[in-house]
Amino acid sequence: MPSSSIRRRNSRAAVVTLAILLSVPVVGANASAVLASCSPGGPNQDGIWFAGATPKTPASTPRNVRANIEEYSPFISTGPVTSAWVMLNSGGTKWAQVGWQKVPNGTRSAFVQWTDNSGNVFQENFSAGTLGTFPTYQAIYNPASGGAQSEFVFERNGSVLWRVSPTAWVPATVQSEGEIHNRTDQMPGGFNNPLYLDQMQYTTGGAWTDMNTNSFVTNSTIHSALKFSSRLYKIWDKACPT
Amino acid sequence: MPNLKTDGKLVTAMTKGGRARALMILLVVLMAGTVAALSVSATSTVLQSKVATAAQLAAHGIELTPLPAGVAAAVVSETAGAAAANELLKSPKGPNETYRVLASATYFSPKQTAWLYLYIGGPGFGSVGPVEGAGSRTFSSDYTGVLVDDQTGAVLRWFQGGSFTP
Repeated sequence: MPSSSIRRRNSRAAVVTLAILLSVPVVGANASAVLASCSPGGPNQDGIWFAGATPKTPASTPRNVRANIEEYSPFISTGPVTSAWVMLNSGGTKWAQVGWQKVPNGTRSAFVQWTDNSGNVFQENFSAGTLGTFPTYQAIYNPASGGAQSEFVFERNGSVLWRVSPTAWVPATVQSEGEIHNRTDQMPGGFNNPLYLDQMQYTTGGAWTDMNTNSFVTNSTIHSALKFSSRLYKIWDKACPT
Repeated sequence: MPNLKTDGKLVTAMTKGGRARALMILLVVLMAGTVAALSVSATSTVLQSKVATAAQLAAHGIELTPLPAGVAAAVVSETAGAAAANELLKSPKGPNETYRVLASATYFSPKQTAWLYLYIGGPGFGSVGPVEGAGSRTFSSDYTGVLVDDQTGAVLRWFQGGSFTP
């Protein structure tokens, strides 16, 4: 087959496939589960909104960050995705995170996302956790030691979902948030049924330390984040009771 | 363009409309005489995907190497597996490439044979990264892969990759 023909076909396939995938976001498991959804009635406005805890940069390299993140099913109509997660990161260009996500057709999955040192991003998607449960999502950084290469390990309830080794960078900051990308979509949680980001803690290689930062919200007019204790944060969409 | 599975048989998953499918079938027929030779070479050759690089696939725990001798034959057909992958992605056009590989559901779970369906492009990522600088980052989704258990038809896991600019 002439190379030009291959290029034409690949180009057409790329356009068609990309259009499909962008117009109909990818789904995960648990397609029938639609609980606690509430349309916030917001405008069709793209953007990035977070609600959770103010990121923490410990005095030394963070090694673990974890939170019991409620498995929730927020309303999402535009997306492309809504999520809740914990993360190790270094500035705005390097991160390693684990949590759950939901896409506009109502399906949910667990996800692990990480970056390298060159602007590349990777994501693995796994079966979703059971709604209403509070699995512990944890991101772990282990520096190279004793001949072993450095690694990021991503866990749910102590079970390893994914591992990256060697790592291309060293984390400096820990954070945990809920995240939406369009105002038609619900920030996880409602004012009568907030999303729990519980047992939010990190280590620098020793004992667990409570996150204990202020709550954080991108737009406090439409979303809320409340620090209930040094390690319990609750978030919700102000337009939604549940 | 047809693709090679790791067991060396021709795969017809790259269907882009009726005309493309017809051309593909014709091509397969014309190439029938060479299948045996391709099968032989495929057993000793690492295949190259046009959708994702070997390094990208390695990040997702995938190598396009020949399956070891003695693995069980697929119970789930390539077509049925593709249907499961297409349903997951809501893609009516189907994958761009198909392979039969060894893969695991999670990092440390045992590897098993699976259909790997690769699609050009992909959906939005689950997150745009840290709070710091979130509003300025832009993303490009380059590929999506779906692994389907070729014995049960269940989706093992799926993955995606791309790049971003700060």
